[in-house]
Amino acid sequence: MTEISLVADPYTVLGVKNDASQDDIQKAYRKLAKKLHPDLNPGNKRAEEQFKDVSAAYDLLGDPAKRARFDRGEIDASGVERPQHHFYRDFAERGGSPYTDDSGFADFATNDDILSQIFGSDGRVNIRMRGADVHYRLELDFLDAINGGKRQITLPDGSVLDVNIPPGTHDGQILRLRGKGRPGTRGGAPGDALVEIEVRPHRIFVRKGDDIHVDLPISLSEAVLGGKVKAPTPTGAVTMTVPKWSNTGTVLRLKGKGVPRVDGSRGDELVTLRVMLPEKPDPELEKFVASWRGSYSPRQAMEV
Amino acid sequence: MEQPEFFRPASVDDETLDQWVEAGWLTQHQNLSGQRFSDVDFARARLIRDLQDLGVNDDSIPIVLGLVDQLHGLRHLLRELLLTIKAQRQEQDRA
Repeated sequence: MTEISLVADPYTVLGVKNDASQDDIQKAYRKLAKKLHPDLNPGNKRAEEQFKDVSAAYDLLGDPAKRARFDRGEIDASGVERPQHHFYRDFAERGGSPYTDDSGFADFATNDDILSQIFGSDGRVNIRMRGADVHYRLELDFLDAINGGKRQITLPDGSVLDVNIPPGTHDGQILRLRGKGRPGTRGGAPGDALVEIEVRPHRIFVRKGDDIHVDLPISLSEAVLGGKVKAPTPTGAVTMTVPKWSNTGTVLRLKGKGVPRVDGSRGDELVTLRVMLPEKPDPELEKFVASWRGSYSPRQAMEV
Repeated sequence: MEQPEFFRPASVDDETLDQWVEAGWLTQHQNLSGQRFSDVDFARARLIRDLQDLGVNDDSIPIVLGLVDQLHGLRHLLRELLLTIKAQRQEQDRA
């Protein structure tokens, strides 16, 4: 499915008239960008979105050649999305940034009783307390989530966290790693790491609960005469029997070939058959079908 | 040693980076893999380039950088403070 995004008119985004000079366009862009630049608005998501729109509009209108093509309708405003890049703020707020400057609150820490109880003059927490929980997201390939295994997450500070993925892990599941959160202060216990799992979709398998669904193409002769065919499962291909006269839409169940459950049992794999004609026209088949006098109309129920 | 080009802004060459180090806008530090600049340095270089493109003149750039760094310092403190409060609540909830 294609996602349709509405792209605003770049002239409206920059707030200039259609006949504005290049100079006016640059001025309008600079004025907006000064206000909206993400690094000058570190906490403001809306500013970042607006900045993206303004930058995209300026990419188009700031270049006279591109602008002329846009005015003639040869290109539209959607083709100019910028590649995402990392802003300074994505790094600067981490404790370890060499540029972070504490002079903006140095006076609080020395003069205020409450704050100086909590923070030392170095801005570090000063009372005994359990560390906070931290949240991570981990993207897994479909089969890695089903079959389980070990994965490593590299944390922003460069350290590595080992994560045990239990078999059958599902999209949205949260794994709790005890003691892997933020350190406690003054001997307090560390918090937990909560890892939210995101499972990437698979090319052929779809998971529904503990069952795996898959569409399996079969040939015309396999459909009519039946036979043994190979079917993919999350743990490898298996051979299954297609009964005689199996139509498109027939569902066959492979017991125990689905998702592993906590109790050690497994869900099933449901195979939906799809009858496929050969990709290239086959004169022999055409001749044969022409000589076949079937009277069956598959559209009877539709009364046409 | 070759710099990883991933985070590096296309419009900033080595000579410019050297000038910015000399001006005190960037710091270079030999890290373990022998690179002069890290991701945060490149992100800062991009910010400097963006500021120049926005018409901020070179005399004003250290003022902007100084204020931005103080803002990040405050945001870092605020975040620590919020995490501290949150941890305190979690501890209370457990008790």
